[in-house]
Amino acid sequence: MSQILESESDGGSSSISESSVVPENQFTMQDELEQYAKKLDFLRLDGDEEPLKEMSLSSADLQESNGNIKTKEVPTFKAPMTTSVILTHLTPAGDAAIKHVISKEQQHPVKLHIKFQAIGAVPQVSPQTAQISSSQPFSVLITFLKKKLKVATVHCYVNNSFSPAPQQSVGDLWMHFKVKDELIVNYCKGVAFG
Amino acid sequence: MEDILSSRLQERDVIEKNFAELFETASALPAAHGPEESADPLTVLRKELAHRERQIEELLGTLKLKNKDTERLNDEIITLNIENNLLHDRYDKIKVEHDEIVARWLKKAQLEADTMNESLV
Amino acid sequence: MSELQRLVWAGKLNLQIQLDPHLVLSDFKGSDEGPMHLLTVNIQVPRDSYLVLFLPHIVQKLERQLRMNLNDYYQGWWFEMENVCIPWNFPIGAVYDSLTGLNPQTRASNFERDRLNVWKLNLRHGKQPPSGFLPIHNGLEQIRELWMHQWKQACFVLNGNSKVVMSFSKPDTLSFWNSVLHRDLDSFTSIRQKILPAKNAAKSIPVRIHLALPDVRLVEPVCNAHDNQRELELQDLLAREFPEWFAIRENSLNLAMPVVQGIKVPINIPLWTLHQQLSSFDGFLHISLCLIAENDTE
Repeated sequence: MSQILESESDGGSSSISESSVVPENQFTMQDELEQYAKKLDFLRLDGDEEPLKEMSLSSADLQESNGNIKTKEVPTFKAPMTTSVILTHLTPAGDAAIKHVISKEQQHPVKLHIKFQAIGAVPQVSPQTAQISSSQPFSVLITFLKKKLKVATVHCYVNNSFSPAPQQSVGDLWMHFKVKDELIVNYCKGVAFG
Repeated sequence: MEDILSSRLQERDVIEKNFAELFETASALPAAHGPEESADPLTVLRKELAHRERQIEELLGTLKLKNKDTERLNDEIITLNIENNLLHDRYDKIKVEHDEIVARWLKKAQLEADTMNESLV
Repeated sequence: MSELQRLVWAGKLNLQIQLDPHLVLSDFKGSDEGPMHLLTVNIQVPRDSYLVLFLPHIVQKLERQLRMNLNDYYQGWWFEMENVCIPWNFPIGAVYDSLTGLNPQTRASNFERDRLNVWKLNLRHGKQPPSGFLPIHNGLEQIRELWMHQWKQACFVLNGNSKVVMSFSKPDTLSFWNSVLHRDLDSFTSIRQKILPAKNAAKSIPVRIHLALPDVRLVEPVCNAHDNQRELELQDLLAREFPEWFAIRENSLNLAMPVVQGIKVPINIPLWTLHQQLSSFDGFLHISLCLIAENDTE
C-alpha cells in the first residue's frame, strides 16, 4: 500500500513541479506551438493529409544511395467504374486471359541500368549509374533526381534529345533508346532542349 | 483496306455528330487576356472570401490546439485529484495511528503515575 | 494528304463538363431546381488535340460563378471521369477510347437517330492535383514544350535520332504549333511530312497502347517497320505484346480489339500504313485495347 502511494505521489509531484514552476515559460512555449500548428495547417502537412504523407514517405525510400533505386510498388490507376463493369461480362476465355495478365504483372520485374549525365551547372549525382525495375514509370526517376540534388525542379532528357511522358515505363524507354544496355538520362535545372 | 478505315471513320462521325449542334465548338486559341484583375465588386469580394477562409482555417487550427490543451489539463486535474485522495487516505490513517499512540502513551503515563502514587502512599 | 488524314484531323467529341460544386459561390450552388446549367459547359473538341488546350475557353464560361479569383486559366485545373483523373498529355480522343473502353461496333449497333453521344467530365481545381497528374505551372508554353518533346521522341523512334525536329527553324516550329491551335491541317501536314521518313527508311514506328483494364496503363512497345523484309502487321505486334488476348493469325480467338481514332481497325493492316493514316497530332499511333464482352457482336 505504501509503495503504491509512493509511486503515485512521485508521479504527481513531478507533474506538479512541471506545471507550477514554469507557468510563464509555458505560455510562450504554447504560443510557439500554436504558431507551428498554424503553419502546419497552412502547408496542409498535418497528419490528416494521407496522400501527401504517402508521397513524402515513398520519396524518402528513394534515397537509397547504393545505386539501386528502391521504390514502392508501381502505382496503379483504376479505370472508371462504368468501364470496368465489362470485367464481369467477359467470356470464360477472356476472364482467364485477364487473370493471366494480372498475375504476369505481379511477377518480379527485371532490373535495368540507368546512367545519369548532368548538363550545365548541376552537380553530377553519384553513383552515376543506378538500377531500377523496368515496370516503374519514368516519373520515379525525376523524383529520385530531385531528392538527390535537393532541388524543386529538374528537367530530364533521354539521349540528349527529348523528355518522355512521365507515365511511360522505364522498361519501354530502355528497350527503345538504350545505349550499350544503359538508358542515358540527361538532366539540368533549366530547359536544355526546348 | 483504306476504304474500310475511311468508311468506319465516317460511321464514327455520324454517331458523334448527331445533335452536335448542341455543343459549341471550343477554341484552343489562348484567351485574349488573362483572368481579369479589376476592381469590380466580385473580384474584391472573392479576395475577401479567400482571406476569411484562410482566417477560418487558422482559427480551426488554433481551436484544435486549444482542445488538445484542455484535454491535457483535464488529465492533470484528474491525476491531481487521485493523488489528493490518496494523500487524504494516508493522512486519515496516520491520524488514527497517531491518536492511538497518544492514547496509549497517555494510558501508559497514567499507569506510571498511578504506580508512582501507589508507591508513595 | 489523304482523305483518311482529313477525317482523323476533323474528328470531334461532344463533352459535357460539370464544374466541381465546391468551387462555386453559394448563390450558384444547384439546389434541386437550382441553376445547374450555370455550372455545366457543353462543348465540342477535336479528338486529335489536348483537352487542356481548351481550359481557357471552358473556364471563362464558368468564371463568374467561381468563388475564387484566378491567376491564369491553366494552373490548378484538371478533369475527371467518375473520379478518375484524365491525363492531359495524350490526345483526348485516345484517352476517350481507352478510358471509356469504347467498343465502336457495340456503339454503332446501339445507335439510333435520336441518340446523343456525350462524354461527361468533371472539372476540378486545387493546389494538390491527384497523384499521377502532371501539374501545369507554365500554361500554354508548357503544353507546347511537352508536345514538341512528343514529336522529338516520335522522330527518334522513326529515324534513330531527333535531329530533324531539333533543327527546325523557328518559323517552322512556330507554324507547326500554330497549326494545332488553329486546326490548320494543311500547314500541319506540310511540316509533319518533313519528320516522317520515306516508307522503307523508317527504323521503327512510334506506337502507344493504352490499357484501361485491369488497370490504366501505357505500353510503348518497340516495333520495327519490317521483320525480315516482311512488313510488320498490327496483329504481329499485338500477339507479341499481349499473347493472352491475341492469338497469332487466328482471328476468331481474339479476346480484345484494337481501337484507333474511335474505330475498330483490321488487325492484318501493316503498322506503317496505320501510322501513316491514323497517327495522332503528337506523332504517335495511339491504340486503345477494348476487351470484348460476352454479348458483344464480333
